[in-house]
Amino acid sequence: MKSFRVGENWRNLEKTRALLDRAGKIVSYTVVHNPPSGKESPCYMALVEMENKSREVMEIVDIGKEKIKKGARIKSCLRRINVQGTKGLINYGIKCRVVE
Amino acid sequence: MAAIIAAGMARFGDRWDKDEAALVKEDLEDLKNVSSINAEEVFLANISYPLIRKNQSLQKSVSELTGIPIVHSFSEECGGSIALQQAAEAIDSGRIRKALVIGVDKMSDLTSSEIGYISALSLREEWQNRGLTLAAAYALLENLYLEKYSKKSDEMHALPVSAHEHGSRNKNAQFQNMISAEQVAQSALTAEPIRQLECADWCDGAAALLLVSNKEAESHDKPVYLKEHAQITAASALEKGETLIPAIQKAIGNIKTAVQEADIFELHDIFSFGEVMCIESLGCCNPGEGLQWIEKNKKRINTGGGLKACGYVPSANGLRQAAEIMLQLKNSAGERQVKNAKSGISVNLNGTGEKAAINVFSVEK
Repeated sequence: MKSFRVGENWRNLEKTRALLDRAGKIVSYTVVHNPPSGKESPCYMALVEMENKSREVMEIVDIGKEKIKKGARIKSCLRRINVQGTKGLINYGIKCRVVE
Repeated sequence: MAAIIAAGMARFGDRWDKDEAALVKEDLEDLKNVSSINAEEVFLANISYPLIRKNQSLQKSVSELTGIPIVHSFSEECGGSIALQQAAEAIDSGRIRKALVIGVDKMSDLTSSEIGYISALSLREEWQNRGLTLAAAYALLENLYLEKYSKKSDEMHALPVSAHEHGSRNKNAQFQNMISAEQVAQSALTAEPIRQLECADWCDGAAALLLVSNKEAESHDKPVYLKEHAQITAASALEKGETLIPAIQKAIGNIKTAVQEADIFELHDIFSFGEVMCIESLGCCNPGEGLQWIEKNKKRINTGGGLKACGYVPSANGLRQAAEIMLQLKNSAGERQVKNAKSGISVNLNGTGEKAAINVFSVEK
C-alpha cells in the first residue's frame, strides 16, 4: 500500500467523516485474489450506490463470500487501512459491512 | 496534418539487461535502418523512471542519445498517444517539420505488490487508497456487464485466445505462444471473474515514431497520415455505474471520421473485457453485442497481439498501436497483414478510461 503522509491523512479527515456510517447497496462486487501489499487475500471490493445516489468503491469486511450479493444493503464503517513505518502509524479509512 | 514515415521497436518483455536508455537506443537503431532521424524536437513518454528511481534524468539521457536539445516529457498511462498528438500539433502549427516521438517504460523493475498498487495510478484517489487495483476495477465493470446483458464470464475467454494468435506472428510481442480457451478457463483467478490469462502483463519495452509534415511526407514511401486525434478526461464508467466509457464516447464526438468504418482497430485490452468496452463505446455495435462484433471482426482487431500478447508498457502502448497500424496501412505487416487496409484507429486509456486518447490514421491525406 501507499505510505500516507501525516498532512495528507489530516486533510482527508473531512472526507472520511462525511462518508462514515452511511447506508448504501452493492451494485457490483469482486473477490480479489492478489490485493496490493498490506491487504490479505482474498479481499472483497464492492461498487456501492450510496443513499444520495453517489457511487463509491469500498472493501467489504466482516463477511464470507457466500453472504455477499448484488443488491445487499451495506453500512460504511471506519476501519484500519494499514500500519506503516517503524513507529506503527495506523491509517484509518472507510470500508463497509453488509447489514442484512 | 502530420504523417508517420518510420517506426522503431524494442521488443516488449522482461528486458533485465537493458535500462530505459538502452531500450530507446534499440528504437533509434531500428529507425536509422529506415530514415535519418534528423528531428528538431523529441516528445518523450515515460512513467516508470521517476517511480522506480525517484529521479528524472531520463530526459537528459535521451537528449544525449539523440543529440536533440528539446525534449518534451509526458507522464501518464496513455502518454505515448498523447506525445504523438502533441508532436502532430507542433508540426501542424508550423513550429517544426520533423518530430521524434518515443515511449519507454521498464515495469519489470517493480515488484508485483508495487505493480498492484501502481496499476491503480489513474483511478479515483480515494478508491486507490482503499485498495482498489486496476484488475479489481475491471472486474467490477465486467460483473456489471455480465449481469446487465445476461452473459457468462467464459464467453470472454475467446478474446485472449485471439490476442495470442496474433501475437504469435509478431516478433516484438512479449507472448508469442498460442493459448486455448480451456487454458484461459483453468488459469488462476485474479479478481473474479477475471483470470490470469485475461490480463496483459506489465513488462519492459520501447517504441518510437518519426513524424513529419504533410509536405515532407510526399518525398517518403507510403506515409501514414495521422488524420485526426482527440483526448478527453471524463468521469469513469465505474463512477457512472455503467460499462460504456464516457471519455471514448466524448472523444469520438470530437472526431469527424466515422471511426466505426476503420479497417484496423487497436484497442486497449489491458484486461480482455476492456476490448468489449472499447468497441461498444466507439459505437461499432449496440451495447451488449460487443462480443459478437469482435468475433466477426477479430482478424482486424489488435492485429499485432494487442496489450494482452504484446505486453503492457504504459508509455509505449500508444506508439506500438500506431506502429502496428502504420505497418498494416503500408501493406508491410507480413504474415499478419490485413488485406486492403486503408485506415486505422487506436484507443489508448488511462486506468479504466479516466482518460481516452484516440488517434485516427489513413493512407490518404
